[in-house]
Parts: sequence; C-alpha cells; structure tokens
Amino acid sequence: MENNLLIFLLLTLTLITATTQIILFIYLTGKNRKSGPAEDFPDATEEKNAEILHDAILKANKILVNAELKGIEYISKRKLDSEKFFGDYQSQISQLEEKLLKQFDQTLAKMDQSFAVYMSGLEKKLLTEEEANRKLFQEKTLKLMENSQTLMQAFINEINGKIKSQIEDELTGVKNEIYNYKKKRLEIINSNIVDILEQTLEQALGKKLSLADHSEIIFTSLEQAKNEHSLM
Amino acid sequence: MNVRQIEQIILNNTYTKSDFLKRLTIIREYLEAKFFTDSQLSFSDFLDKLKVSLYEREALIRFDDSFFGLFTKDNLYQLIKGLTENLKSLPLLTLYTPVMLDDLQLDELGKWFRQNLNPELIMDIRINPLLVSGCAYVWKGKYKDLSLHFFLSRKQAIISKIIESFVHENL
Repeated sequence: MENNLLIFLLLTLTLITATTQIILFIYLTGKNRKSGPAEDFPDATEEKNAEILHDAILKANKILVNAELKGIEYISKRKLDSEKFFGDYQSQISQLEEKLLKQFDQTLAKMDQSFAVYMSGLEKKLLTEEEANRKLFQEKTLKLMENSQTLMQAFINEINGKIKSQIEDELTGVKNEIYNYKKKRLEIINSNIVDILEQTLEQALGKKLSLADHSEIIFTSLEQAKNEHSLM
Repeated sequence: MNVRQIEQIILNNTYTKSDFLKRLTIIREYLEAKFFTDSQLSFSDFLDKLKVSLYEREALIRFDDSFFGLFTKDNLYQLIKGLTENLKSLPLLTLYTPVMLDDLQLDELGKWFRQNLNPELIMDIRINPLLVSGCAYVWKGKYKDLSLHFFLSRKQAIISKIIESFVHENL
C-alpha cells in the first residue's frame, strides 16, 4: 500500500515537472516568436527571468532527482526491509510450522493413544453390553416362547373344545332332525295308512274277489257289527 | 183283503225295492191280460211267455189262485196304486255294495236284515266300487260303514305298530 502511494507520488511529481517544463518551453518559444527582430537584444530583466527560470528548472530538476532518489532509496529500503521482513517472516513461519507440526504430531500421538484407550475401553464395554444383551435376549426369548407355547396350547385346547361341542351340537341337531323327519314321515304314513292300504287293496283285490267272497265278507262284517251291538 | 195284506204276501219273499216293483208289474200285466183280454194263460205259462229268470219264477210261482183271486176288474188299479204308494212308507234300508251281488245273495242279505233290524224293511241296492269290500248302509237316516276302510281304521293302531317296528328294524 505504502509502495503504491510512493510510486503514485513519484509519478505525480514527474508529471508536474514535465508539465512545468513543457509550459516553460512553450512560453519561451512563444515569447521568442513575439519578440522577432525588434527584440533581438534581450534586456536584463528577461535575462534574469531566464536565469531565474533556468534556476528554477534546475532546482526543480534537482528536487525531482532528489525526490526520485529518495523515492528509489525509500523503495529500495522498503524492498530490503520487506525482503528482510519476508525472510524473518518465512523463518518464523517455518519455525512456527515446525513447532506446530511437532505439536500436532504430539497431539496426534496423544490423540491416537487416548483414542486407542477409548476404543479399547469402548470395545470392552460393548462386549460386556453385548453379552448382557445376549443373555437378556435369550431369557426374554425363552420366556416369550414359553408364554407363546402356553397360550397356543390353551388356545388350541379352547378351539378343540369349541369345535368338539359345536360338532356334538350339530350331530345332536342332525340326529334330532332325522328323528323328527322319521317321526313326521311315520305320522304322515300312519294318518294315511288306511287310504294307502285301501288303494293298494283296491288295486290288488278289486278283480280277484269273487261274488261269493264279497258276500262272505259282507256277512262277516254284518255279524261282527251285530256282535258289537253297533248295527245302528 | 186290503193293500196291506197283499203287500205282506208279496214281501214274504221279496226283499229289494226293484224286485218288489218288478213283481208288482208282472202281477199287473198278468191280471190285465186275464181281466181285459181273452187270454186264458195260467200264471206259470204267463211267466214262461215273459221268459223270466228261474229265480223270478221261483219267487213268483208262490202266488197262487187264491192270491190272484184277491184282485178284481174294479179294484185292480186301485190296489196296484195303493201297493206302489205303500212302498214309499215301508222301512227302507239303502245298501251299498262294491259289486252287484246275485239274487240269492241279495235275498240272504234281505232275510238277515229283516231278522236283525226290521221284519218289514225293504232294501234299495246301490253299487259303490270305492268300498272295495264289505258294505255300507243307510238305516233311519244314519250311515253305517262296514267296508274295508272301516275295518282298516279299526286296526290302524296295529298297522302303525307293524310299520314302526319294520322301520326300526330295517331303517
């Protein structure tokens, strides 16, 4: 930053000096042209002016050179300082780097060690926990299996009992239905047996009984009714 | 001699309504021929002429001259009318049989009913094949069933037991 400022100042001064010289040059050349033949012989003022200007120019140049030299010196100094500073900085950085690397290595080693210790401790703990968990899991599983077996057995027994009783009920119902059906059919047959037999006998006997047989049956039935006092 | 007495003579060996009317017709025809024509035929010859059955002949031949002497030209139709109308007042037994019995069997039945129910009854025979066997009759407005149906009904309990025991043994 400072270098940039210095360079800027130097350039500014150089520019000013160059501008001043150019103006002077223009002024002087312009003045020479204006004076012409009538002004071939400069007077003392103009000579003084020219000397002053020449001195000014020389001083300005000196100042400029000094400034440039100062600037160059400053820049060189600064460059040297910065090189020195950079060298110191670099060495310090290197030292610091070495120190830090050492420290880092140490820390890393420590960390490694403590991590290893931690890991071994963790491993042991994990193994212990795993063992405990395994035992607990075994116990729980065994308990669960026993409970499940007991429940299943109870459930199976219950279902068996229900199915058995349902089947028995169904069988009883079916038996009752069959019995009632048989009974009903018998009742129907019994209530109509006379008609059934009558029709059967009508078909079977209708043309088989002779007149004598009919007469005999009629007399037998009349005698029977008479004996039972049921003629009228 | 009145209608009643003639009726008793006819009813002596006549048991059915149809026989009574048939014999009364034969008697009337004979007497009409005797009174109103020149016919000199005896009753026996008259029966031959009519070609009546042997059974009719045996029943009618008992009507002798003394019976026919009860009728005159003047009282013939009166007596016939009286006898026809009296028939309606005779105790009537309507007999149902499954088949048409022959004359002898009907006579036997008539004798039986007169012995056991009423000595003056007359039968009206009807055929009812549905009876299958046995008979049925209507006497004094009451129906009496002595058919197969009746006897089967009386034995229904026994028949039911037989069927039940058969079912238990075989089903």
